[in-house]
Amino acid sequence: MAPPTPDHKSYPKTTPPSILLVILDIHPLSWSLLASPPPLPSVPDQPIIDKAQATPISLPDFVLLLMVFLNAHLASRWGNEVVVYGASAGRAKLLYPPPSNAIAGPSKPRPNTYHPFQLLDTRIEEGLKEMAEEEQRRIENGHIKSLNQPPAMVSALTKALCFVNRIIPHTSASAALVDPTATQDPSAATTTGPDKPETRILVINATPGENVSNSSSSDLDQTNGNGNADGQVDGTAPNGKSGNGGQMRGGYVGLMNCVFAAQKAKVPIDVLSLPPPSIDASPPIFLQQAAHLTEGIYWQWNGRGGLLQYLHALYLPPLSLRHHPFAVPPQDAVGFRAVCFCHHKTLDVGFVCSVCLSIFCEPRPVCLMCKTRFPIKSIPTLKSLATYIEPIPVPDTVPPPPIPKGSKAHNNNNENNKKDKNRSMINGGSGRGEPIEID
Amino acid sequence: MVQPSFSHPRSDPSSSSVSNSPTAALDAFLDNQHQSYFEELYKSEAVCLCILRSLPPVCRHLILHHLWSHMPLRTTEVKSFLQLDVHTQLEVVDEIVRPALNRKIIHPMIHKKNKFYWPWNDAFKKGLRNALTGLGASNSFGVPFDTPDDVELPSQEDLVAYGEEAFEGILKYMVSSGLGIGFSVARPQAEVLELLHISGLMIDPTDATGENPNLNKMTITSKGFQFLLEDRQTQLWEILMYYLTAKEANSERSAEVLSMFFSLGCMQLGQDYSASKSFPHALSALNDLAQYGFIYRPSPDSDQFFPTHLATALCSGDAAATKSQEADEKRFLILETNYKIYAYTSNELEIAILNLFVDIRIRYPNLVVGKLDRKNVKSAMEKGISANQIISYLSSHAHPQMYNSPPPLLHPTIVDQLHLWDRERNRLKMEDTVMLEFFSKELFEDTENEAKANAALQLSVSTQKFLFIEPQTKAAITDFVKERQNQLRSGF
Repeated sequence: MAPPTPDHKSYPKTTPPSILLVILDIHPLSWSLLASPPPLPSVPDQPIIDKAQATPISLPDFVLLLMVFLNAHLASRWGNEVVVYGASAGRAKLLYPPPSNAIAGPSKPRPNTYHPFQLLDTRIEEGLKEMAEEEQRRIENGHIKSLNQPPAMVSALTKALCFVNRIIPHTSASAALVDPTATQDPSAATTTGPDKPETRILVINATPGENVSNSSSSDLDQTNGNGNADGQVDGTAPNGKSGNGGQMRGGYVGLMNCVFAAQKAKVPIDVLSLPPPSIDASPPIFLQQAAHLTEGIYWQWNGRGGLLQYLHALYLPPLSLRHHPFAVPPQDAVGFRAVCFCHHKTLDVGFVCSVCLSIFCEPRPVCLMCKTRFPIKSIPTLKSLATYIEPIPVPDTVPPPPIPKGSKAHNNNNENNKKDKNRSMINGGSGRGEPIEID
Repeated sequence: MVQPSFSHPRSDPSSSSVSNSPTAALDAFLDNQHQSYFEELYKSEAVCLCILRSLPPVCRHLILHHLWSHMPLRTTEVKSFLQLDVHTQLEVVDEIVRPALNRKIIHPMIHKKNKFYWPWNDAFKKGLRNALTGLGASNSFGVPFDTPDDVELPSQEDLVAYGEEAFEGILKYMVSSGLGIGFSVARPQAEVLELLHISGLMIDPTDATGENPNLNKMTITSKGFQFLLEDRQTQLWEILMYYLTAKEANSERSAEVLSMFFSLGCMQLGQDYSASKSFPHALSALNDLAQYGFIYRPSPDSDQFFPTHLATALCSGDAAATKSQEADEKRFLILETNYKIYAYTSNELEIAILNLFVDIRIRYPNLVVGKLDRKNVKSAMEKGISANQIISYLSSHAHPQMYNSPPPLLHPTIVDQLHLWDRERNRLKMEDTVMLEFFSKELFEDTENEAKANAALQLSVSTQKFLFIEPQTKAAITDFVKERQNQLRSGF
């Protein structure tokens, strides 16, 4: 991708202002896991990596790091903006900027802090405390089960995308959503001016992926009602859907809709997944898919500290510099599996309704979504045909980085490689990413 | 010759800044400073922040990328992050980080144990880290003044109006001196006039030596006219840099004053600050800035001061300038292809500036109608204003309505015509030169070859054995001539 003769004179002289939307997973259960991580397996052939100990990280610690990162984003250009959403169990909330009607009189500026930094930091702190108090109240009011809901990623993503749409109402991207021919209009050239802000979304995930949750909640899956595919988006109904702390169970459709909306609006979704492999052997595949589909950066923390540096190194460069001239970390192989609408299972082979395109784990005579009837005779044929289908293997290899030694990306890549190999060995070297989970 | 198209009102400050950044004066000043000067500057977190922002984006992100590492910045790391080949020449990589080297953010490259790296300037690294974490102790973002609760503070609009009035007062004085039109302009204070004289923006035509000017009888120079056509931010930085060089000429330390400029630029409009606590070492300079409208003081000897929008926009790049409402008020010009200009303004200063190169025909309370014609444009060019300056003035003040027609913003006919008028005047090109006259043909030819090899030759007239060379190469060439002459003589 890099030009054969790199010419530093071709580097951009200015970049457009960029807006960073951060979605922070503050699910209390996930953070309690992160605060006391299990010991990491040693890596004898990588002494440098092996030396770094497993680092427990608590939410206050991480928020401090995040604030420094957000300050660095604000510092890197005039006109850069930050928007922060908190996603707790079952609900998401805008933490920063404060709604315009409720701007409290700013406290006295501190003599050693740049004023915008101070505003951002105090407001995030207040917002997080408010959310924590709300959670506390919910638990005191007896909604203890609400803690079992997954973090409201979908809700937060939807809000973030709406925010993007609101700040840039007349971009070609959103115009394309309404009217694909709008880009041919000569006035559309005005939207490509250098001052059109770039937006990107950074999802900071703290909740472990499916494996952990499946082992703990597989019994509850039986009680899950059918057909309420995206009813869980806001997670307001407590029973029936709670209990599966798994990541994106009910919100799968909602998440995918968000991803495609973001893809269309050309807003990349970067994902930083905090649970290290020792907590969570499998990556949160739907967030990984989200990053892949929107050309964002997906990266899983290895649990060995250095988060501040990783944040700066991976997620700070603006979009206009991201692929050229800067390098992005090599992306792990992505599993493109989907979730069925009936049992919320992750599938390798699924059956799709030819009318409404809903996905099911087994052939059905009547589509649960659109009630279309299918000939009952076709079901045995479909079942037998399905046995012939080889699951598409998740590739185990990651393309080698261009630079052989000394780069951080390289180490990172080695780890990923190793992780992938381990995984395929656990699976008996069948070449598949993971075995299908059957309840 | 056709101007690049300006696609949107919002976009043009940055697109014009590609060729001419508003902080050009500052950059030129900083480029000539030494390591110790920067060490002094980087004690202030505000300076670190502003310097970081003034770097080109690639360099800026390299610095941020590496800020929290405890290692020096290695060339291999830079290459891999920039997707360069491992075997890329070190000079190429060095060139990429050149802006950071120039600002002494990193020290020159070191070669040790087969590794090439740039060590960090620890003062900068610490300063920037403190700026991001808010852990500094230099009070560089300004100590707020302890205002009693019952005192009514001036609103942001008041401050903007105050700053605008003070600075435009100076500009108006400059214009009126050149045109002899009298709007009732208060004469700026003596210190301001002195600075205008030192900077060469105004001179006293009766004072031939330029040493004892009568400050009350100065007129504007061609440099002054050019200054008037710049955009506001460029003007501010130019004035500040003239002020700073004047300070240095008096052998005063300027680092503290410069770091105060950056601190002011990071302050908050509408907030009051304590002068003695924020800038204990630069109080007199702060007083001087009040005369230009950078700060507002409720009473002349109070410790409390308010930065105006002139100060707070110093470091805010194009963002604040385009956001603010006065930026929209500055877009008042409609230029038609028949050279007619409609200016929807009642601002005396803007009308006076327009009057420099436009033949004004009609004036209404809020509208001025005029025509660009050869006579007026050429008289403006006589005063030292170039076609490019007129074009950039016209395009940066273009009415939003003009953006509705397809680009380019200014019709090519007009742009070309302005350039043609400029060319008419510039048939001769003036260059400084040094003329050498030779008597020996041999020596002449040798010197000519030598000068050619060093790109120092401007013109050679072989029939008369005249050689015209670049003035800065004079010493080298005369050395060569003497040496050669000795050789030739001893040869005989």
